[in-house]
Amino acid sequence: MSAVLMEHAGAQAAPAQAGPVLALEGITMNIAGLIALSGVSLSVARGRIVSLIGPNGAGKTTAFNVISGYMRPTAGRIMLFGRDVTAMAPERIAQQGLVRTFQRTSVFGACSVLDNVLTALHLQGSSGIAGILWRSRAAVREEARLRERAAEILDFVRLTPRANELAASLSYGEQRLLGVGIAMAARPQLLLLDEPAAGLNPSESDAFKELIRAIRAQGITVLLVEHDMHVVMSISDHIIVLNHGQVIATGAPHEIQQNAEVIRAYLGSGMKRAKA
Amino acid sequence: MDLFSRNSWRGFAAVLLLATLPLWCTDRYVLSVATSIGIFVIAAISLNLLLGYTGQLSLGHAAFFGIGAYTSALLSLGFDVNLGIVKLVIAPKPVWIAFAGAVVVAGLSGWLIGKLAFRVRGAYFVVVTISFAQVARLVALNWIDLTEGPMALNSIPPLSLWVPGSGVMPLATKAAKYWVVLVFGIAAYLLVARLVHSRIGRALVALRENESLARSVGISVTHYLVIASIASAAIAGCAGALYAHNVQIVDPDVFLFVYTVTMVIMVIVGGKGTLAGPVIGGILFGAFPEVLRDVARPEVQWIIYGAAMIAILVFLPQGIVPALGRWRWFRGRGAAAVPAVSVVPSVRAGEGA
Amino acid sequence: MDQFLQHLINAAALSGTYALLGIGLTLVFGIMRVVNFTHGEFYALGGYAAYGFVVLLKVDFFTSLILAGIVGFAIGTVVEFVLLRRRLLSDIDGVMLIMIGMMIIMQNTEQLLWGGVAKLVPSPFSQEPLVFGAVSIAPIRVFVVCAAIVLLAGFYVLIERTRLGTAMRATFQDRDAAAMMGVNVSAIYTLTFGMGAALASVAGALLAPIFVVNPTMGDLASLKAFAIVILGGLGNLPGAVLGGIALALVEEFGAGYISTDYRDALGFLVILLVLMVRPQGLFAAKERIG
Repeated sequence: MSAVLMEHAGAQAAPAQAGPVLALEGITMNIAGLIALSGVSLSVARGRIVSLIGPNGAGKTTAFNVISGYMRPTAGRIMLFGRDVTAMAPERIAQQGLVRTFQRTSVFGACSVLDNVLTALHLQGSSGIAGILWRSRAAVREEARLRERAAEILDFVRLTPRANELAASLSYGEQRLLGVGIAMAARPQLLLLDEPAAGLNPSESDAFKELIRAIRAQGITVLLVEHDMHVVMSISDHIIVLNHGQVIATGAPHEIQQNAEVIRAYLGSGMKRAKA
Repeated sequence: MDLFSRNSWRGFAAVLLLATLPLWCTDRYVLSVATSIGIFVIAAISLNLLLGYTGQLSLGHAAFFGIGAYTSALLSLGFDVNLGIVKLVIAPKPVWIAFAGAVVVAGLSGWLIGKLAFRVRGAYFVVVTISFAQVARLVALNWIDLTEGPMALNSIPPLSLWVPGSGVMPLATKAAKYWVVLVFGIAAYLLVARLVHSRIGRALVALRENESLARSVGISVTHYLVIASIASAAIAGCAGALYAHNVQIVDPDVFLFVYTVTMVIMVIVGGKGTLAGPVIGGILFGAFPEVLRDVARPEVQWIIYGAAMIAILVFLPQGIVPALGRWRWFRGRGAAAVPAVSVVPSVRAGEGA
Repeated sequence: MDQFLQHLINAAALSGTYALLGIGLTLVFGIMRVVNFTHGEFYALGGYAAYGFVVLLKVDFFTSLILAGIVGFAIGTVVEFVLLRRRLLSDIDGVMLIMIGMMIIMQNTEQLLWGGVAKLVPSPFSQEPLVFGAVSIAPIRVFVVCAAIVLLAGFYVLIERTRLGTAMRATFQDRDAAAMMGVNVSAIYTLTFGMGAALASVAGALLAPIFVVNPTMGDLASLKAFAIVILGGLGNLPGAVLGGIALALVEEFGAGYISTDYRDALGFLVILLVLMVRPQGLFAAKERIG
């Protein structure tokens, strides 16, 4: 891993806190009469890879939207690194260190791949209008520094050969990689991945698993929503299962595989076949 | 797509050509048309920042233009107005103070629209911006105490220049007016160019391309919408002030929707989201009325413009400039929007290939 | 008190047409998500159609109303078919701009064909106002209200009681689901746009004897239509009726008690105020964010 990226992970580590990086307390989400989430409480421990799974309609995407600030919960609290972020706007939550990816439309289509990552490095820069208009030395230096970091991130997600191409012209798998690169640029301490393996073929999924492990190796906590049980069982440290908007089980992969209620919820499809 | 990038010979040649225009073309009518075109180009550049780069369909841009024109006119002429309880009397200000005031006031109205934009999105925002311009027009038309209404503000002093040795000289000749507009035009272009190639510019484009994604990496929507709005409005106000001191008469017609539409056509046909787009669009649609003057009635001209805009939107949605960019003759050093990436050799510990 | 009643009566008369204008616009937006800038131009088209039929072709006023509606419908469907068909959902901004281009073309064509001088369409009723105690109202205005009510009632029946109306409502709620149910969404779009245009044209023809017909009458009509649908909530059909009534009241009383000069500005001010306080319109249900 590039020395600079490693350094960032260490520098970003919050003052030693034993508590979880993310805690949901009694989250209820009522959408136009439909109860999408009901009294959901869960926590994500530092440095872990945690998967949020459940059948379709279980409320996983809603949970993601609520956690990342795109929806305000009807009731309950969300604690991020010990801070209450329940009512915070998504951009503020990103500043706190939580960054999420999107399943669809995950890139800035009309921009080049490099510009996508450069844009995502927004929080890493601070030059104001004056500096930009007058081309102050600080602004010029900052721009160079950002470009260097963008190149490193592209390297990390293995998209360097595509740097100058339009993001919209990338293949589906490459766009997912770029989406991760964009999220990484924002220096997350907690990364939310929204179905990262969706639509990927087996070799692409394997590459993604390696990427997620590499992200964890940098000290970043990962929470992912995923349907692909192979991926989930093989990389997760911890699994949380949702059904009908409620948490029905949490535990290590092998525990979840044998949990009767979970099996019932999934009707056994694919679960038993996936190995840890 | 940056046809006139700083290192491009095309850019230098163009500027040289434009700067020397009054020297080799002495027809005063042509000069005044060129000056008008210049003012429209500045207005189009300002609209492009909001419409093209930030993706906000603001259809009240004539409001900023008109507010700039009226503010500069009123401040340089001086005015007194009855505000019910008190009577406000402002003495005539030096021309450049009035000009600066116009830019500031226009910028403030941009701030207002920017704040509103975050609360009111999509189609509603479009309607709000149109309404804003209409309200401005009706106020200018009816608040006769302040604006003289349809009788217009007359005898607006021209801009002036302090020349060592001769003191303050009014820039009243056609050539002088042309050069002032040219200087501001180049300044506006460079300002927008610097802005869009910076971190701020990337944030604006991010809002246009994918707002949810932009927010997820920490880009604040209100903050940047407001910045774009203020900058755009201030530049449009500058164009309006230039207009006021150029034709030296300002009436409520500056707020007409048709002028906003003109600016929109210039930006769309020229190429929204490109630096050269509004320049090309401005020149084309500033010159067309002159070229077509004897050939077609105004109504027919407008039908042609409307049809042209629709044709561009249907067949060449990106506009003329990007289409030219794909045409090989226009490709050159300046064409690459992104410099080559310098890849820092990375040492990956413990990772397979 | 008398003045108050008079204003009330005038507002009642006006709200019928405003409701028609609003319904047409909100219908198009609700189903197609298009901000239709040509709406006012179809209103003007209706006015000119009325002029053409009544004055030039000597057709009686009532038949002209129907013909104006047909003309509006025909041209509306053609516009939708030629310009909007393929790009509706991918590029909302582009569609809005195309509509603006179309507006310019329509307005200037009218100017070219009819000239800029306002045209008068004679009223089929006598000019003698009907007097009820202290308030008076011109017969034509009474007719306008009745015609508007009839049209709105007919429209309601269409939407709620016919298969076509059901298909339209389905497309309104969920385009993809409707398509899967076998609804021909493209045809619905064309029909909807045509109907919106027809409603605007009829409104224009109805009002032609009251207000004069000139090429720029569309601008104001467009903006008032926007005020109406914003008051009622974009896409909200009953809201458009309520919005029409609301705007008529605001205009009549505002013009009467505050200032007649700014009468037209009142609509815009209402838009700005409402949107600042309640961005989704007065009567719309709160939409979810995110």
